[in-house]
Amino acid sequence: MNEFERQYAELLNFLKFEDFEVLTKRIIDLTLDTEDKNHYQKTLTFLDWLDENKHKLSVKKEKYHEILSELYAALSVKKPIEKSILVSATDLTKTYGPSGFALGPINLQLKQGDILGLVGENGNGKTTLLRLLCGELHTVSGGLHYHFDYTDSYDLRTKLVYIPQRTDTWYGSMFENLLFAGASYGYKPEENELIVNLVIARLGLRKFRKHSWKSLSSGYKMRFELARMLLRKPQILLIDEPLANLDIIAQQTILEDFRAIAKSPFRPLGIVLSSQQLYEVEKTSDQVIFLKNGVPKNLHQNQDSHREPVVAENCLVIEFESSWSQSELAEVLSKHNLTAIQFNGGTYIATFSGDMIIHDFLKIAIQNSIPLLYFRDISNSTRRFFVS
Amino acid sequence: MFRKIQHYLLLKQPLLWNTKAIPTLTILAVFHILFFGIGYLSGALDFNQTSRNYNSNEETVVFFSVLISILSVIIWLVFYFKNNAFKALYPKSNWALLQEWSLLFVICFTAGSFSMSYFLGIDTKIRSYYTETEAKKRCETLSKASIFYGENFDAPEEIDTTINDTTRPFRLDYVRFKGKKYSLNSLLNKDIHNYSFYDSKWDSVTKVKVKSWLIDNQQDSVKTVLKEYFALVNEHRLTSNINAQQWFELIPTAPDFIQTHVIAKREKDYYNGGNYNYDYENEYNEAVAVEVAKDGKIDSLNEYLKYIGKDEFVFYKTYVPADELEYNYEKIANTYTNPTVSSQMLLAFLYLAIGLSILIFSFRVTSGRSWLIALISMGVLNIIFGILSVVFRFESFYLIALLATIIILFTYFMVVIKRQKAKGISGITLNASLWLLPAWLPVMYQLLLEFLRHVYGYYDYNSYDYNMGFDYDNYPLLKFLKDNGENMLWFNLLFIVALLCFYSIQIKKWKALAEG
Repeated sequence: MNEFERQYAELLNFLKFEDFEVLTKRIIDLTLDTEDKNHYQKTLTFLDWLDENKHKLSVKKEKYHEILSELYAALSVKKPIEKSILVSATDLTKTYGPSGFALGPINLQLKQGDILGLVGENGNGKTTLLRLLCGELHTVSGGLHYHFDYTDSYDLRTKLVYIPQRTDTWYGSMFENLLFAGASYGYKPEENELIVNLVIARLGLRKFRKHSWKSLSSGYKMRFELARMLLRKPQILLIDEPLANLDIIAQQTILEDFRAIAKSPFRPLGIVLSSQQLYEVEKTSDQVIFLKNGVPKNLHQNQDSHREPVVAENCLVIEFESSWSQSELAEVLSKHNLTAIQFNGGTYIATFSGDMIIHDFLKIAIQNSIPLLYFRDISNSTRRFFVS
Repeated sequence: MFRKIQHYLLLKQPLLWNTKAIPTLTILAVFHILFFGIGYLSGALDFNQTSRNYNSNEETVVFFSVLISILSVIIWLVFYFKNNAFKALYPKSNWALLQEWSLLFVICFTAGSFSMSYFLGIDTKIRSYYTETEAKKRCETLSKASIFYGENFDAPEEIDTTINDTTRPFRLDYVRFKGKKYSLNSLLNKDIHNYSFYDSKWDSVTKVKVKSWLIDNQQDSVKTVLKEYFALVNEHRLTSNINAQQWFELIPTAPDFIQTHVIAKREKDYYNGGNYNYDYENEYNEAVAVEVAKDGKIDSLNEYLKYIGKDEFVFYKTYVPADELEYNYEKIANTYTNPTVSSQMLLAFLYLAIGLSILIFSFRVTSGRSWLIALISMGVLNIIFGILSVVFRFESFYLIALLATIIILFTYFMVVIKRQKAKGISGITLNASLWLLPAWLPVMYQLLLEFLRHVYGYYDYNSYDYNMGFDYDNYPLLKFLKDNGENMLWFNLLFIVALLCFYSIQIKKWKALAEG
């Protein structure tokens, strides 16, 4: 079963469990994968039909099934792309003057379909790294190699789409702006409008086509930026704090969108995103780089060589919330290999040595009736770096 | 309609859509037609008008044309600046920026040249009256007839006479024609009215020809000219208190042809206590005969006073409508020989469009911040160059400093691209460099001209012949450069486009460089 078939099976499950919203988005992704304007037209007709017939469940399922089958027939003959390396950085450094901030050395590798999350507190170099990767900043030392084809440095930069935290204002109608991007990127006139309509639908922006930039919330502005990005067919998408100013639902939706877009079997792209939303980023990303004062800290990398992967410290780290005091908790947990318990921003971080696993911690909690409001195993999370 | 066209262009020609070229040029074309129409209507000749009573709205129309130009450019820029594919790093071919500049140039030229259409309208209307051949023929008649009216006597000849070792110029009190002396008030001392169709040589030949008719008593030739003159008077429904025959009879006769009876060029003048409202341009020519009038006395042979309401006028006993004919036919002749819409005017508007389009282009490819800093820097630099050229008292200092600036800016730009590192301050210098593109060739040309003048002794006051001036004929290269300034400016337009071709490709490379 190749990547497409695996994803298709997933879509059939969405249909089975009537998760139409996600299914619709993924159908649009598949439609764009066909690169065939007949399919574009069919899907758009289907979307129009959906708008009119939201509540006709049985017919709706039938229609979904029909369009999925058609897309499967079109795409099953296409060969999914073999994912290759997009960019590799070796000992990349950047300094701002002799006494200024210094980033690096950074070593990383990004493949098609991968999402690289950059986390870290403010002012620790996330944006600098993004700007280095998109060519907006020049490296002081180290190697930065892009492994895809490009004719010249301008052509390279057209393939590296960087969306800054504060995006430029769009003037005029949103729809025209997207058509302009499409036309500039060489979409044929007869398909440009269809693709833009699909992309707009993909990001849930059909209602906002004719809105002005100023009338949009920051969440929708970000979606329009993503819509434009999709039209630009980037090799790498670099996006700074995409989750800032988004509510929790919007954050989850947009991360899921990133994942679906990056993992496309036929048009995969690499995504590098920075965020303060540690758990969400970790959940979505294939690799995470934690930056502290410009220096990357990775649980799975040797801090000295920056290259050799090492096994994380063999310990269990649990983050949890409880109504008990620190001393009450320490009294109970110290009987079970507890090495440290810290109170950190309203939650406790308990570190256990030895062969403790998460089930052991739960058993202790149940046996001692420890009131737990929330808990999370952060043994393999960069959350550990945020502990003071 | 525009919406549909724009939508079509958005899908097929995004650059044309972005520049809003089609709607903008269409609207500008409507303005051009409007200004041409206004010009065409105002160009209509009124044969009752003279250089004294003409009524022109040229200044008002030009003022409004400038106002509309400014407003239309501002409105267009608001729409044009809404999108910038280059700033957003959308794919661009190597020629895309040149294409964009070309569109800017066409729009700027169209937006900035309304007054040219207005003047073209005037010229077209005036030319529409008569073909060049017909107009020439008519001007010839008017020119020949002009000997027989007015008081445009030639100034008396001066000869240097030495008395008591002092040489002084003395005015002769006679004029010599074909070996015979005549009084200064003789018709044989009269000048003819010049029309720009003809050069001074033609004027001299014609003058001699008409005067020869008088001394050879070729009455038929004179009568024919006067008849033709009156044919024009009648055609234009002008008035005269004599006819061709009466005029002929008033022409002074042999042997002296002294003009005692003046045929005035107009019916009347405002008297104003003796200060006739003369046409001051002709005062010198008329000076010989108007001395009486200047004293406030009336030449009762030719003039009489009359009150119209409270105003006192001096009326002329005999007159032909020469002022009207001269004024209008001069206009016709000038429209053919020296039209308002000339190659120089076109060149001026083209350079205006080049300048404006480069200013917009540089803003577009760099940033507002760089553009503004460059503007201030160039202003300051110009002031410094100006001050230094005064301090050094060296005329070519400014040009040399400008050339040095051009070379430094160009070299820096190329080094920045070659280094492939950060842009640094090159955004600012690129703006300045682009603004100076039109100056490359003219500055070098002028410097070469000045250099050759120095080499060939143009500024050498010891060898300078004050009477003859500098003889350029001895220095063919210098003469060529001096005489081909305008051609150089035409050629420079091509040179600027060639430079912009080169720069457009380099700017694309520059854009890809890191910011910091």
